[in-house]
Order: sequence, then C-alpha cells, then structure tokens
Amino acid sequence: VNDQQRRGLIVGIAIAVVLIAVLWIMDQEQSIVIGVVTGSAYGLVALGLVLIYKSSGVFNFAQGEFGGAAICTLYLLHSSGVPYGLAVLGALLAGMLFGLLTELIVIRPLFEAPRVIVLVATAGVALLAIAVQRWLFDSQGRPIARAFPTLDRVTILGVQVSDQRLWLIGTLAVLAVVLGLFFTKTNLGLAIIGASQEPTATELVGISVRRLSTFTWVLAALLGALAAVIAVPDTGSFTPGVMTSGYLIPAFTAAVLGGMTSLPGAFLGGVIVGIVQAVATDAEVFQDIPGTPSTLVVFLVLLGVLIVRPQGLLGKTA
Amino acid sequence: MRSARLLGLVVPLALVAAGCGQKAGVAGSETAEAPPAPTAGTATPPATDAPGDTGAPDVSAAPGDTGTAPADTEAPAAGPFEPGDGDTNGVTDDEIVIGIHAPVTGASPIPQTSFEIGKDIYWQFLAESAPDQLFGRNVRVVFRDDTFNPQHAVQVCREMVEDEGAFMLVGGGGADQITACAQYASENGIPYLSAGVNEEGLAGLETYFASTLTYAAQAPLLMQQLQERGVTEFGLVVFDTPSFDEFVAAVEEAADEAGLTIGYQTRISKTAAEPEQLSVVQGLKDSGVEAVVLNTSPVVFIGLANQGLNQGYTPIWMGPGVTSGLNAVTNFGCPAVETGVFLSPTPNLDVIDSLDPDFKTAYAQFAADAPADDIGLQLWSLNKALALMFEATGPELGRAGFMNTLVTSEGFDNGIYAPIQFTPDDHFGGTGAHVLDADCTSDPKQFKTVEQFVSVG
Repeated sequence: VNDQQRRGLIVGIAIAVVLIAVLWIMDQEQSIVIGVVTGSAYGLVALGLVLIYKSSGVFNFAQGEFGGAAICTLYLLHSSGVPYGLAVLGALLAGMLFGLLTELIVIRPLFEAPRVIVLVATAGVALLAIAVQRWLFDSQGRPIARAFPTLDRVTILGVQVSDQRLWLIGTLAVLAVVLGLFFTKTNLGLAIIGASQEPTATELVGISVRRLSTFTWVLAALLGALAAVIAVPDTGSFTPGVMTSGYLIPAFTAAVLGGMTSLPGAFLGGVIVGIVQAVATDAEVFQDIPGTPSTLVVFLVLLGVLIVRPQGLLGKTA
Repeated sequence: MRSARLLGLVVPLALVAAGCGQKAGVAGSETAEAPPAPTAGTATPPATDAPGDTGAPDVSAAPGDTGTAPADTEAPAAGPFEPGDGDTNGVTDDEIVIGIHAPVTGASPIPQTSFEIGKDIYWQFLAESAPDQLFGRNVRVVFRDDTFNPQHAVQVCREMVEDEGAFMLVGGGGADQITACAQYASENGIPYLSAGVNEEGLAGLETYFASTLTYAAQAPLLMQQLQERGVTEFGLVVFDTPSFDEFVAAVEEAADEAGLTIGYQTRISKTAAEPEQLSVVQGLKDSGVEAVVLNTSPVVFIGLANQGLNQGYTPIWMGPGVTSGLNAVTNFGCPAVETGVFLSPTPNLDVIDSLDPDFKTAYAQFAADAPADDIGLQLWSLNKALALMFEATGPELGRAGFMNTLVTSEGFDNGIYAPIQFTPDDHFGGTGAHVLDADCTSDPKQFKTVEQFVSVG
C-alpha cells in the first residue's frame, strides 16, 4: 500500500465515519444496514467493471449481461429439474462462456482500436444479450428460487438479513481482498497490470497480451455471473435485462466512487451507493426534492467526491 | 367523482342481436354476483326511441338516430367536432386502421406474444360472425411497443398515424406514455382511446377518451375495498411522476371521507432499485400498516412485495387497474404477491364465460394453439367497445363524426367493461370496475375475480 492509497483509505474511512454519525443523528441508522445489504450486489458487479478497466482501460457495458446469461441459465436449468447447486455451476459456466465469446468475437478484433470503440462494442453486446433474453422469455419476468431459504438469519436494526444476502456480502468481501492481493502479489496479476500499461513491453518479455485479455474477460464474466446468481434470487424473480437495468448503472457509480482501479474501492463504493439511495428514499430532508431523490443524491455524492478526489476514494492517480 | 350510471338499453343493434343471437348488454351491477350478461354489447345513441325497444331491426340507422341528425340519412352524429384535414384517414370502403401502443418491454412489460395474438382476435371473430356490423369494413390493427417511455410513445404514435395511416390511436397501458401520446393525438385531431389512467394532462384534450375509470376515480372504490377487509390504517406508495399527483390527492380525500388513516406515505421512482424498495418496505413495516395502496408498475410492485416477503411483512397490496392485476404478475411474482388485490376494467378468465362466452370460443377458433389469456381479454373487451363505437358512428366514418358519436351517445355497454358513458364535457367514460385477488395456489397462478361491476355506493 503506497502513500496515495493510504491517504485514500483514510479519506474513505473518514467519510464512512462521518456518514454513519450523520445517519445516526438523522435517525437513519437503518439505512446503513439497508445500504450494506443491497449495495453489496452493486459492489460485486463493480468488481468486474474494475477488473476490466484495470486490465484494458475499457468501461465494460456488457458486464451486467454476463450475469444476465448466468441468471437465465440458472432459471432454465433449475426449472428443468437440475439440482440447485449444479444449476449454479452451470450458470457460472454460462457466464464465463459468454465472457470468453465476447472477448474472442468482439474485443480481440478491436484490440488496437480506440477505447471508445470498444466501449460502444460492449454496449452492443449488452443490447444483443438483452434482446436474446427477451426473445427467450417473451419479455416476461420469471420466478427464481433462492439457494438458501432462511430469510431472517439475523435482524439488525429491524432489517432482516437472509442467508442469501450473507452469502453475497461474504463473497464480495472475500473477492475484494483476494483480487486485491492477486493484482499486487501474483505474477499473473502483475502481468495483467503490466499488459494494460505497457502492452508492447509485456509482449517483449514473452507474455501473451491476448491470452491475458482472454483470462481477464473470463474472470470478469465469472464475477458478473456470481453477482447475478447470488443477488438476483433474493429478489424472488428476474426480468430480461435486469442486470443492466437494475445493477449496472449503480455499479458503475460504485466503481467510479471507489476509484476505477481499486477492487476494495468497488466494495466500498457499492455500499456507499446503497446507503445513499436508502437515505435519499427515507430521510425527511429529501422528500421534497422533485423527481427521483435516490438517483439525484447518489450523483451529487459522486460529483462531490470526484471534485475533492478525482481518482475516487481508493483509486490511484494516473 | 363519477358514479355508475345505469344505461337504458334504448336501441340495441339489430345485427348484433340477430347475428349473434344475444341479448343486450347488462349495465353495471353493484353487487358481486352480476347476472349472466350478453356477449354482444350495445351502443346507445341518444335516440328518441323508447327504452327497452330492443328489437330495433336496422342497426345502421341507429347511429344517425340521435335527434341531431336524421336517422334515415345515416349521417354521423352532430356535435362539437368539425371535420378537418385527414378526417377520413385510415378509413376505406373495406378497412379501418387503428394504432395501438403498449409497453411490451420496459418496466411494465406486457407479454408480447399475447399482445400480438390478442389484438386481432375480436376483429377476426367479428368479420366472420357479423361481417356487416361495421358496414363491410374490417379492422386492421397496427401495434407498436412504446418501451414504457413517453418520448418513444410519441414517436411510435406518430409513426402509426403518418406511416401506417391509422384512423385513431389506442393506449394499451402506462400513464405517462398514454398522456404523452394523447397530447400528440389531440394536437393533430386524432381520436385517442385508452383505459383510464390520470386526468391531469388529459382532461383538456379534445380528442382523448378514457373507456374505464381513471386512477383518481378508483380511489373511493379502493377505500371501499379496504373497509370491506376491516382495514382502518393503510400506507400509500405511488410513482413520483407528476401524472400521479392527482391519484395521491384523490386517495387522501377518499380516505378522509371514509374515515381511514394513511399511516405511511411516500413516492417511489419508476426505476426504483433495491435500496429504495427496501427502504420503502421498512418504512411501511415500521409504521405497522396492514394494507398498502400502491400505484406503480408491476415490476416495482413485485419488487416491493418481494422485499416485504424478505422482511416478514405481507400486507394487503391494493391498487387501481390495469397492469398490476395481470396474470403475468402472479406468474412471476408469486408467492410475494399473494396478498395483492387490484381493481380492473375487465374480470379475469374465471368468470368470462358467464359474461361473454364468445371470447374463449373465438380464441379456440382464431388463436391457433395459443391459450386465451387475460391480455387477450383486455384487448377483446377494448375492441368490442370500439366496434360498438364504430357501428354507432355509421357508415360515414370520419374522425369528427366518430368523436361526435362518442360524446352524444348515451353510452356503450360491451358486457365486460362497466358501461362507458361520455359527454361533450366529460371524456372520462368509466363507471365501474371489477375486483381481482391474486391466487398463488392455483395452477397456473393467476388473479381470480372476487367482485364484478363494483361502483361507489
């Protein structure tokens, strides 16, 4: 951890402490629980966004639909009688396969193209995936079962937290740390960072940048698939495109808030977005804001953070 | 507040009566047990014929028999509308083109296949069973997905009028899309019909007509339903767009009049994400309300109901029609939506045979292997009402004449909707509703009709 990251961490913790104190004073402590419970799903999607951005500098608009492919597969397999555990495994594989195909068919031919072209291409992949889901499901929602049926494992400040949510929060926390270590402590992780910053030099030392790209996209797809198969079943149902319409934009916000290059930052950003949305919905002070306060306030917070700290809470300056 | 107005069945349409062998439509009953109704509806122009003159032999004469236009001329009814440019656009000697928009994608999805099949079934049935009812014309329906987006709704409405040559437009659902498209229609003198949504933004539009109760008009009915269930305090959750302000005001007023307390009240965004949904549910739960009146999209309703289930909070979820009472909601919202109760302009499939036995028969005949469903029933009922309106206008169909007929006729009763009654000053024609209760134990999971033709009283 260098000085810059340490300062970011201190800023992040300071903001969190101030936020909690303010919420307690405003009688909004319940929003902290709601934020952690719901924002962790954003954080998990944000992890995949950060991973792709760290390795290739691309905002991946298809990240949500890696999860979309997974949740559709989970539904199709489980409703066909496949045991839930195997269905989850199949769903994760489907998500990874989608990531692999995206890399091979869309990303690799655009390897030398400007990043904005790749960005648009990923948006195209997302739209195509949503269209396929609508075609498959006649634009209709479908019920989706939870892995764990217990809804009230713990109750914190009046908010019941289900086993499924605990699984999500635990997975996110572990992945944020493990991936953080992966990129700083392992040769493969360092090679990915190196390839993103100096692709020619990386090739010169005998590392295949294209293979690294494939690995990264498949890993990001796995993260998206994990987010979907853990988070979505807790809502009881899903509609085509739900990972993009419901999770992608908050996840982007979370990733930018946390710092686009920081994996723990994605975790923190997701939780902050969740808390802010919950507070903006419930707190009296925001009730008179016309339109949608939960969206407006999130973007005000994002704007404020970026003015004070353009690289995000835990991100590094270029 | 409009109350149900029983219509005299003045001049039944002979072709309907003779061709289909059915009796005249039943006007709105205020009881749960509606008597068996005819399958054919009635259009009731303000004729001088005595009420009960049900044997009128010449349906084509009826529309002109308004007292303002000689019956034997078969001229369109006189009224406040004057023919302008393009008055007969979309009408030929053998065809009427109508354009329908609805959100088959977006936050309030309606099953696209059901829609594609259902939009034509009534017209196919009519063409075969009573080919002369519309004076030799068939109806061709053009459909566009408005994606639950008001701007897109205007775009597709313009396409249907300018590119497809639609005579009139019909809104299939979604308050903001209907408002946006109706405004476009009014600016261009095009008749626009939809199920009742809001009045704000629509009340001043000359060419807009609501065939069922508006959201605000349903507020007293909702209070009635809450009282019947012994509820004294309830929560209110409504979309945060301005179109819904009047619904909030109407519920507040109706609650006050009914002596009910609103224990928790909030607005929710059309794209409410999980944190917002869970916050709202926690607010409702903490306030202890045992019922929630809501006016949102089905997707947001299901989200709220699921969050409620996760928090061990399962109040009665109650709201106005149309989309939250669709079987698509129970299909993927159960078990969370089990306690849902919604008003609806049409009953559900469980009682349709007693109101209109032609519906399932027509589906069996014209829908290939597709089963009859509630989307199809909504479209059937809408088209059946439209057919009565076209028929009442007479053979000289034009936009002005059509709208004059709507506002000067005494009413239209298709036997499925509560009777529709417009006046020159009131284009909100709904007079009653049906009550649907979610049944997650049935197979397939669907809403069941628990009361028919309810109105305030």
